[in-house]
Amino acid sequence: MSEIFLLLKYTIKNRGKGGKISKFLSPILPFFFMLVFGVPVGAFAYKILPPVNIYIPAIVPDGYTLMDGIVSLIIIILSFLFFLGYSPMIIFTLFENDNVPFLLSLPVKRISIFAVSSYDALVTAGVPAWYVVSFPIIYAIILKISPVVPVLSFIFYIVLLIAISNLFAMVLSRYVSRTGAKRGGMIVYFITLFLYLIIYTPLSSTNKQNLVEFAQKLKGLFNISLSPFLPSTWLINGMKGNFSGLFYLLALSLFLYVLTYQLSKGMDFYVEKRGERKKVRFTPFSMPLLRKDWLYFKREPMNLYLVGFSLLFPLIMFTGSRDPFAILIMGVAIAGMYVPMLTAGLYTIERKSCPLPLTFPQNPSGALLTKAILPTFTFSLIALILSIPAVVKEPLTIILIVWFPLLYYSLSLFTLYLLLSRPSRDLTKKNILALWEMLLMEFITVMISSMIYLVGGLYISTLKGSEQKLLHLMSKHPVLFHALGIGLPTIAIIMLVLLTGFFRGKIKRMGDRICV
Amino acid sequence: MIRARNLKKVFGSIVAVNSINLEIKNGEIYGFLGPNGAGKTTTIRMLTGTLKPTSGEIEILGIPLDKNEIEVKKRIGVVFEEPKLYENLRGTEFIDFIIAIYKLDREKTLAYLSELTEAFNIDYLDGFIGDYSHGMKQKLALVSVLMRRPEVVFLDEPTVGLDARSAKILKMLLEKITSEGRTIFMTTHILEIAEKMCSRIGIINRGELIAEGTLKELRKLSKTGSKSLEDLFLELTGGEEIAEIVEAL
Ligand SMILES: Nc1ncnc2c1ncn2[C@@H]1O[C@H](COP(=O)(O)OP(=O)(O)OP(=O)(O)O)[C@@H](O)[C@H]1O
Ligand SMILES: [Mg+2]
Repeated sequence: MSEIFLLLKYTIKNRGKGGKISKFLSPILPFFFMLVFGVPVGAFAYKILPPVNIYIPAIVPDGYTLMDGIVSLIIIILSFLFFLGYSPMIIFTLFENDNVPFLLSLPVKRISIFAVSSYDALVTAGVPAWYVVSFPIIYAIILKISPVVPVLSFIFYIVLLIAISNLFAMVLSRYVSRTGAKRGGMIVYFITLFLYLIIYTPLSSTNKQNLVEFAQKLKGLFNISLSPFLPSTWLINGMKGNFSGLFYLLALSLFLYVLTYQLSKGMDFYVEKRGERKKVRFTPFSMPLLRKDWLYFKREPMNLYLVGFSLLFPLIMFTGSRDPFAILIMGVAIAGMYVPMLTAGLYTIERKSCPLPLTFPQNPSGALLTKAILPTFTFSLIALILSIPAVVKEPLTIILIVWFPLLYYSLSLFTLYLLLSRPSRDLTKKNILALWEMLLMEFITVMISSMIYLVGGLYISTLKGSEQKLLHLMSKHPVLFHALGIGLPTIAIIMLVLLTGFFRGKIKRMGDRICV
Repeated sequence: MIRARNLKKVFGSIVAVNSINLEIKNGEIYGFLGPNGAGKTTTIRMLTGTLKPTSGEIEILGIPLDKNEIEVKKRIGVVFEEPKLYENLRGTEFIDFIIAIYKLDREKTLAYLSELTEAFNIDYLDGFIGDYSHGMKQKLALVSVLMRRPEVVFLDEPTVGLDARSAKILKMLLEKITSEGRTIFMTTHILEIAEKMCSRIGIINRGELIAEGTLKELRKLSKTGSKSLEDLFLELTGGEEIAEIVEAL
């Protein structure tokens, strides 16, 4: 045990650079998450659960209330998400961790190394568990029983989930390649984040009445979700104060831990590549620099997430919203963060292979300027999709939409300029940009885009009569109205043109800073 | 042909390379030796246009480097000691990338590449470079340079990480390359390789070129009459007391 704490301390220390606060925070982060996610969900559950604590034999199996049925579904879904996100994350942290070879050389047990990396993974991937952390207490209050058995059952249920995920990760680590594990882990991780988004939006809009209605539709499901063979049902039993539930959970998790421990003895942290050798095939590259970026873009799962989130989030948040420009600005605000992150990611692949990029018979600034193409193209495309509602409402706004590529191009160049201005950075981080740099770019992006899209959009809508807010200004001070409506967007666009020229010039001169 | 005059590189307060002069003719294998941190890698980086010298002039193949970097880079090749390649690409994609960026003749290059991969036992090009071992990456870096048939090849400790067979093949290949009139500039810590292969040897210590010449010429420099390159190297770089140090341990 002390071995594990020592390793954990070393891992956190080694992460370094984060500063005092984050060093202090990282070990207690899970508890922080517990508060942030657990308390609001708990309050919500406490409000909606008591009315459904009723027996409806037609819908829910014998001995269980409707509340049990609903909670069992929630627990199963969250457990599934927990498992899906967590076990690849363990592998991901194991393989991502360059210290593993060193750790292996230390006289410590393999299970300790595994334990440290699974704790590390738990911090980021354990979120689903925190949603329901208050449930045993709520059960105890509603059923008016002592909270001891419910809380213990919950703890052992989490322990069981961790054991299953660990076991799965251990088995999986034997069959995937290094790159495969990293990629698989990230993909699943981001898919679960998506699922939250999608599940949470409709869930938060349900109220008491339609909860019963909703349950009626799930009739057949409860027979499955409350099956006596499922650990989640044992948890429900345990939360109802039933000792047998607690006992089953305890027994199974103990058994799995012994199994994990035994397996860890023969564990390899290095996994080799399996499966069929593919035929070696060469394909001609035209535009090699762009193609190389594209392959990175396609293969780094984080990019999938950046793109998916930028597209889906504004759509989900504002479906049915009356103001189509709100969707656009939301999209721009997200792109204001993600265009820099994507650009920085593309820049990092060059930095990581230094000094190779300097050996090519090309000015290195060419490779740098190429980095702006993919982010510009991708996010312009997203902006185009997000602007469909605005264009449908007011076709003339197309004259505003066409400036998106310029906006994102200059943003991407700005990122490159910042990166080159301070070239020594910790490349092992997922996002190599500093917080102040991100905020600066976000601020400028939102400012400029508001001048174009909010002011310009409002101006066009007012002219066309589909928007009333500024009618007053238009009739009273027509000169001021037209000056602002045309002037502000024009100034913003001119600024973008100037900035683009400025950054391009700077980057061309800073080409050899690509490697330091 | 490689020529450097008063080549100097300063990092902050460290003088990594201090006014060295080099003159290497076509068809030579030049061995560049020196203790750790002596300035070998820094010199190679300057000679290949991947690091700007603090001062001094470089000419490669008769072309001044600072004005014609791109022209020079097309005709030379360099393999660094740490094979850092694009980890997200497959080996095949990396080769395709190199072919495109150097605008090489595809057919000819791929034909020669297949000979090279066979010789070096490279059968893993379909995999991701991130999954390769150090030696596998090293070999990929090596063939991606050799397949271009560069006129001057810079190799920074090329045998590190190579298995015995690959190292042997590399050595034979290098000899063949010089017999075609092409030039090789190589650093190594394995003095036996330098002794056997290099037509001339330069020894750098703390940024200064302290000795240069054929093995025979170097032997004449020895005050103690050292016969082997190892003794000579240790004598010149200040390692005479080694026996005493080891004794004291
Ligand atoms: N980017 C850099 N910034 C600061 N100092 C550097 C940098 N690169 C090299 N140096 C310093 O320059 C000196 C020479 O380093 P160099 O890498 O050329 O040595 P070397 O002869 O290749 O050594 P080795 O045999 O270990 O490879 C060292 O003192 C090193 O610390
Ligand atoms: Mg070196």
